Amino acid sequence: MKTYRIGFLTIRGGAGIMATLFVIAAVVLGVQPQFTAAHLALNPDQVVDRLELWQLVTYLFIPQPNPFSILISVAMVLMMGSQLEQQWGTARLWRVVVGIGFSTATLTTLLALLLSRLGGIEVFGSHIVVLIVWVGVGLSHRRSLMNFWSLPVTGYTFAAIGMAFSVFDGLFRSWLLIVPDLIAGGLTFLVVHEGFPANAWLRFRGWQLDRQLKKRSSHLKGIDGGKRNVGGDSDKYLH
Amino acid sequence: MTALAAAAIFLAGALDSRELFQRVKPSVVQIQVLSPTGELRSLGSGFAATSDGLLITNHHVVEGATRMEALFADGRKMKVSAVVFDDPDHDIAVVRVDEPTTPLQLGRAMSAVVGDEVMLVGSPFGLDFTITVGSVARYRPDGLTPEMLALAGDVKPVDRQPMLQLNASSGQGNSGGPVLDGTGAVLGIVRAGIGAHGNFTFAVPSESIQSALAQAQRVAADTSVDGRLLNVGISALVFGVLAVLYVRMRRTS
Repeated sequence: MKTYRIGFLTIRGGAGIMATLFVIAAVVLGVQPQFTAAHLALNPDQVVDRLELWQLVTYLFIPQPNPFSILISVAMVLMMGSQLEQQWGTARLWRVVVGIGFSTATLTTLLALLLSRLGGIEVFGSHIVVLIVWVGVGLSHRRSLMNFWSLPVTGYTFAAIGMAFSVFDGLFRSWLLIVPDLIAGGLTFLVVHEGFPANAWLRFRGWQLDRQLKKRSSHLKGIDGGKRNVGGDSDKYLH
Repeated sequence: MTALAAAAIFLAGALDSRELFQRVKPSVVQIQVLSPTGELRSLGSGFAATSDGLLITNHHVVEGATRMEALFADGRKMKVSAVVFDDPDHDIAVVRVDEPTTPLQLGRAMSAVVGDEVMLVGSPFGLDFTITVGSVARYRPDGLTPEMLALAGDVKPVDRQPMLQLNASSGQGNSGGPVLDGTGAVLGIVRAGIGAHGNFTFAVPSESIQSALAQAQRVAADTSVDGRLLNVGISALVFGVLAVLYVRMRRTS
């Protein structure tokens, strides 16, 4: 795991950078709450109306404006993000987290064009990052046992617990806020479990090849194995 | 009898208030502070100061707010897109809505004579677009003295700014609403009320509002150079920096 030095500060690994960004964003949020909520958190209406496209990424590092949420986000990312980083490497961790986060924001914004009430929400996205790493850790363990507060659970159960926490948290605030969480959870499943988009591309190519072969062989007829070929040809297929 | 009643109403000034209210109504707004999920958290009042959507209200109305809407008397609701200028010392905030508005003219609070009739329009206790009629009690260029502050416990120490004292009731939700003279010019915005029924109201005078508005217009002019194009540029820069960081991260990991 690479160590980064910024002045007197030493940050360990990509998960450490994420946690540092949470802390910086929390400070900015404390100093300029209005600016942060209006321009750095995700406001789907604002993204469409004012083309503040950076919100699709910046929202990921903005914690909920309360100390408990900030601490939880930092601790979770340091614990579970580091675990994933050891397994995947720094570049893949960032690719997965930022990629899923960006796609979640984009899909939420597109959905807001159909559901106008969704357009007015403000998403402080640090919990989306926590959700991605939590579900990611769970899904990468699949059926193998993990430790959840001293309880042995499978990776799938661990991922489901992470998802449930997020949904419950959203239910206490508004169902609209669950939409990005559900999108992020679904995308994490596709990426970590199904190997999207690389595997999807392979499957698509496989399906294309299969279709091509079927098309090419559509004029061929199978003949009875016991029957002698006309003209002494040993090929079992005839034009 | 009817003519006598009409004459009595006219002499009492009620007819003027009615006409005045009809004239200023399109320019007065209720500022609603919402939670991230759209629930109402608190509210204040305000008024349109320019035709391009700049609204005046109090700093303490918008303080800490992350999402706001302006409700007009005709029922239209507009999203407050930005706090263009914020002055906590004078308790003034200039916010923007992205639609044309009908502005009110600013008057001169310093020239107001004690006893002049004034009308307050706002939403005390959520009672939307309520008018209160009163009179100018005094113009206080130095705000409240420490002795007065000691007596009026609910007024903050920053109230050593110029203030227009009024004999008119106001309540929570009136803050930011315009104080109008007989011609419909804005003499100030409601800031605080003291007394058992908020019957001593203090307003931020129009001179302070004028100065804040001028600064807000300068800020708005600086940022209105095709804002969307600028936003796309900033977005491209953010994504570019991310891409460079990612490539470097990939090389080193």
